[in-house]
This record gives sequence, structure tokens and C-alpha cells, in this order.
Amino acid sequence: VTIAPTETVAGQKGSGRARRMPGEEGTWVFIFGDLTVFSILFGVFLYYRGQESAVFANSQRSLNEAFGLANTLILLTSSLFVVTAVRAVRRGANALAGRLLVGAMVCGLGFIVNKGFEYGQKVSHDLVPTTNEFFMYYYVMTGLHLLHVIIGMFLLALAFVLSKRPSLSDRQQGYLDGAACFWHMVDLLWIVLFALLYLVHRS
Amino acid sequence: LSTTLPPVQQGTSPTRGETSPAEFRLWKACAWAGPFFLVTVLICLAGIAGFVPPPSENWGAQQVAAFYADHEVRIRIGMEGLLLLGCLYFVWSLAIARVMWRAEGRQRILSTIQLIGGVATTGVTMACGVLWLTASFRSSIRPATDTLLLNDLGWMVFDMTVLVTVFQQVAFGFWVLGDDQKKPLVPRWVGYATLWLAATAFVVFLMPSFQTGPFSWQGLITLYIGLGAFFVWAFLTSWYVVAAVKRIERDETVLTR
Repeated sequence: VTIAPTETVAGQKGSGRARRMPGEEGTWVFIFGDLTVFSILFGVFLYYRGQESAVFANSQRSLNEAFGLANTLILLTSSLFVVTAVRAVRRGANALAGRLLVGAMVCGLGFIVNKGFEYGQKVSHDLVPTTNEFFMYYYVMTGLHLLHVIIGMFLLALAFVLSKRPSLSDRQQGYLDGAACFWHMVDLLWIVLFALLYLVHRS
Repeated sequence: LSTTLPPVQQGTSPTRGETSPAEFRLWKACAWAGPFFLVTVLICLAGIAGFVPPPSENWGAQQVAAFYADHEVRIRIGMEGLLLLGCLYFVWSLAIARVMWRAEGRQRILSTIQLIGGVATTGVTMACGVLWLTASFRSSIRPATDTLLLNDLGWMVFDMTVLVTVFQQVAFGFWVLGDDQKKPLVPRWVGYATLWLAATAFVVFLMPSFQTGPFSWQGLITLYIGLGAFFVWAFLTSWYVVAAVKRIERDETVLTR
């Protein structure tokens, strides 16, 4: 008799898994909206690169790929921490989830510090937003992304607070998933930005 | 007797069941004032005054002065239209605030921020109207650089005061997400959409740094996406506020029957 309810819950979970959407619907309105704006920015960047391909190619060479690569690895690691933390919360391993989220936030902080060094180096070489179109877009796009990283850090802090609770309501679980999805979006945007700004060359 | 028990309803409204049909009609009229304002103002600015595309941020004094001189009468009519209609925006904001009252704590903090943001938005919208009207006024004797200054001021007020509207939006968005009723007055995704559309408005802070390209005041991102996001939000909100008023009316009718 005592096993029966557990089975029902497990059965519901099993049947629900195929269709389960992480977070609330609204989270995805937010995320797809944000992705749309960034896609337009990427399109605008590519348009202007087409107009001034020599300036863009020369400027791209003065970027240090090591900074970008380090930040890519940092964010990928943080995303792994976050997704593992969300799974840990679902399994009731809250202490582990908390540690993983702190790890993700340390990565986020590392990203910001690294970006700070990178900006500092660029400015010391007199590469500022007014230098040319490329650097204007470089600063605007990475700056907007950095803003998202900072917002994401606040959301990870919210997730950390939620992970300390013994149990979560559906709404709270939705906020936790939503915060995690936002962080993955930040990661995804950086991967595209890294490729677009640092790596993609015009043949 | 047991069949006459009113349905259980959450929310703490002190005025439940006290709204007359005439008041509901007025409330809905206020909610419709928003879409009416948006459409007519768009006609005034884009259709009549010819502000789409607007005088560019990188134009010189002579070019700007010529724009205002050539469009003098059109701009006068368009801006006077804007000034005639501006107050409808705070009327609409009041309709939103009254919906927010129905699922809000006694301090009414979010609905008040929302309403003040709406009033301030009316103020800055009318300020733009006055500045652009003045720029087109006495165009035959005004030095071109003065017209340039008035045009600049108009656009600076138009874009750089966006935070008053953002506060209105954010207050509304957080209220939607904070509405804990089983069936909230406004769907939760509208709350998320509101917060995202409000966040989009921050791109205007790049405008003073760019006189050409997508971040200038005539650019794709500042004007068309930034202002577009505002229009989408305002229409979306109007739709769901009208629906919420209708639902409140239905609920009250059931309760008082």
C-alpha cells in the first residue's frame, strides 16, 4: 500500500518526461526574444563586415584569441555545473547543488575578470569603440553580452537560494529551471560571439 | 440555500461587487484609450509629420532646418495631434493600475509605480511634441543651428527619458509574475514578455554615441526595434487588460447575483 503512491508519482514522471519543458513558457518568450535581438545584431555586424571587409579583417587580427578561448571554456564549464546542479536539486542532493552553483558563479566571475583584462589590454593598445566600425561592434556586442552575464549571475544567486530549500513548489522549480536556461543562453550567445568576432575569417 | 453560495475567489479587493455597469464601461473605455492613442499617434508622427524616416542624427544644421521648413505645416498638425492625444496614455495607465489593484497588497506599490511611469510617459511624449513643434515654428527667420538644437532636444527627450516607461513596464511585469491566483488576471508569459520588451529599451543608451548606423536615433535598433518593442508591449498589455476587466466584471456579476 505504501509503495503504490510512489509508483504513481514515478509513473507520472516517466510519462511526463517526454514532453516536459524546463522552466515556464514565459521563460522561453524571454529567451527567444533575447536571441532574436542578438541575431539581428549578428546580422548587422555581418552586413557592416561585408561593407568594410579589409578593416574588419585587420582589426580581427588584433584580437587575442586566448582570452576568447579561455572565456569559452569557462562558460562551458559553468553550464555543465548548472545543468548538474539542476539535476541534483531534482534528486534532493541540495548540498551538492549548492556547491555546483557556487562553482558556476565562480566561473561567471572568472569570465567577467578575464573580460576586464581583455578590455584593459585593448584600451592600452588604443583600440577603443571609436577606433573603427569593427571595434564599435566588438565593444557593443561583448558589452551587451557582459550585461547578460551579470544578470545571469544574479539569477544563479537566486538558484543558489532556492537550492537551500528543503523542497520546491512548482513555481520555484520553474524559477530554478528558468535561471539555468538563461545561463545556458548566455553561454550559447558567447559561443556565437566568439566565433563571429575572433574566429570567422573571410576567405 | 447551499446553491446560492458565491464561488470562492482569491485576491483582496475591498471594492468587490461594488462596481456599477457604468463604471465597468468607463474602465473598458480607458483600457481602449491605449490602442487608440498608439494608432493615432503613429499616424500623427509617421503619416502627417513625416518622421519616418526621421531627420538623421548626422545631418548638419542646414539640412535639419530645411527639413523643418519644408514640412512646417505637416509637422505643426502632427505635433498638435500628439499634444491633443497625449493624455490618453495616462488614462490607459490608470485602467492598468485598477486591474493591478485587484491582485495586489494594500500598499499598492507596483500599481502606483506603473501609474506614475504612465503619467511621466505622457509628460515626456508631450515635451517631444512641443520641442518639434517649436523647431518648425518661425522656420523662415530662425537660425539653422537653433532648429538643429531644438531637433536634437526633441530626440534626446524622446529616447533618453525611456526609463520612465521602463519603470511602468517593469512594475507591470513583476505584478503579473507575482499574481499568485490559480488563474491569474493576466497570463504569466505576458509578464516575462513585458520584462524582455522593457529590457530591449536600454539600447537607446547607445544612441548619443552613434550618429549613423543601427544605434543612431534613426537606426534599425534604436528606432525600429526599440520603439517597435514598446508598441508590441502596449498592444499586448491593452489586449490582456481589456480581457482582465471583462473577467472582473463577470466575476462580480456572479458574486452579486
